[in-house]
Amino acid sequence: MNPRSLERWCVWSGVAAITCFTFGFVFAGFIPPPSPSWSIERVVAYYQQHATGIRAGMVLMMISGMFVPPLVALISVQMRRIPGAHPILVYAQLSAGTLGAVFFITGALVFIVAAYRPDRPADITYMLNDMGWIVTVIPWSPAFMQNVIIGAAILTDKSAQPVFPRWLAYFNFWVAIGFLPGGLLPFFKAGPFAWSGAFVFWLAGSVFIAWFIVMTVMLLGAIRRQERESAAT
Amino acid sequence: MSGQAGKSELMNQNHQQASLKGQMAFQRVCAWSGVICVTLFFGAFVLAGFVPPLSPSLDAGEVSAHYLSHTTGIRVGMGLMLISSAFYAMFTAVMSGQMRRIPGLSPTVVYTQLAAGAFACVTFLLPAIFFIVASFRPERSPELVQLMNDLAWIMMVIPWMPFMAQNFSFAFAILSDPRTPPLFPRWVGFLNIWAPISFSPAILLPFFKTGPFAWSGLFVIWIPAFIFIFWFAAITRMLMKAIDREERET
Repeated sequence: MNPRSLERWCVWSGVAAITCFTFGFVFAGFIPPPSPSWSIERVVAYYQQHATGIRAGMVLMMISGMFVPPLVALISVQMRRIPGAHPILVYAQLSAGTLGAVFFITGALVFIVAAYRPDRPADITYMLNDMGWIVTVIPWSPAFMQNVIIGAAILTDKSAQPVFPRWLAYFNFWVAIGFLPGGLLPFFKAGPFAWSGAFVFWLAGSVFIAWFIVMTVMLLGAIRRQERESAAT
Repeated sequence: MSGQAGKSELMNQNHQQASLKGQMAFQRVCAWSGVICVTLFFGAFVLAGFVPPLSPSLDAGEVSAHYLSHTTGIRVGMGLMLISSAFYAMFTAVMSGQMRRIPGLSPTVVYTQLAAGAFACVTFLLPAIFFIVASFRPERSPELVQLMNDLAWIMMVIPWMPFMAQNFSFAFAILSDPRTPPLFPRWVGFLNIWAPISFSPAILLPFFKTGPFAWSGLFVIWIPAFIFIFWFAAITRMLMKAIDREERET
């Protein structure tokens, strides 16, 4: 297989990841998400009514984790083409992205366990719901570091024909900042900083999806330019 | 003068040979890590009394009774499972190291294998931690012990996803080797395609508490476990051969 077409498959793997992830939420009936201020009875009733949807949706979310490593690998390989980008940045992106992939499956696992026996004592289902949401929404730290590293590598590119446009660096920094409010969720059960709130769920969720879309387009562009350059030489 | 130069060249060669031996020995340790990893992993099952696995259809009282009667075995066994994850990291690294030797292979494939294998290490650690928490206070209310048992079994059995990304990239590397003989025989490539496919029925386990698709069932644990063991043994053997070839060629 031509290396460029292999790299294109890796880009589409990223698209598959975000698609499975988003549809996992939709099938589980998690959009909009249940609020942390819900009563125990309401949470238990929710799992009892949506058990099948949550099981199927969260299996899909776990599958999304499978598609993350090829995308992360491709970003590192494209970063290597940036003249002057230190290999530390390439490896740091690879390991931060790998760590991030873990959180595509751990939250889903907890939701699967909650929906596996929705007739457990109510307190336990309530606890699993908290655990599932917090594990899914809070881990901003690997993604934050990954985006900062991608941005830093792009800014070191001083060539006339950069691998990625400079604005993509600032976009990555803004996405990183967009994930930060998740760190406040342990302190809130309602309002914009609760796990179902405007900053923590809707803003972070939107920048997460936007990051996948923008990176898909930019990576396809970088691969196309690389193809043209190798054809020219 | 010329005698002295010849002597220092000879010493330099000796030094290079010793260093090459060290590099090869490190790679061989990493290859053997595969067998060590799978032995520790399934050794944990035996010590914990999980062969045959606890059925998801047991009620909370029966699960709790197993933890009360096997407390020490579960704690020790799961300590071994924690250790197995370190060996999996080394095993993943030598796979990437040998894949790099296939001519014309894109680094994207090597990195995918590495990232997905590192991701897979987590799936050895997390269930072991849940089993340890469950056996840490087996006198908890039976519903809580059952909950930890569900968390641990589901986490252990279901995540084939990182393995699929890892094995498919390894398969791609093996099958794209243009040489005769290739670095790895082609059947190893097909093994890396079929092994993760055989693990995939586990996605059905959330819907079953009995039968072949429950976590204790034929398609979810027994067939994948045997294929997993065979995969580790075969890949270790093939990596050893590839390392021997590297030593001959350098």
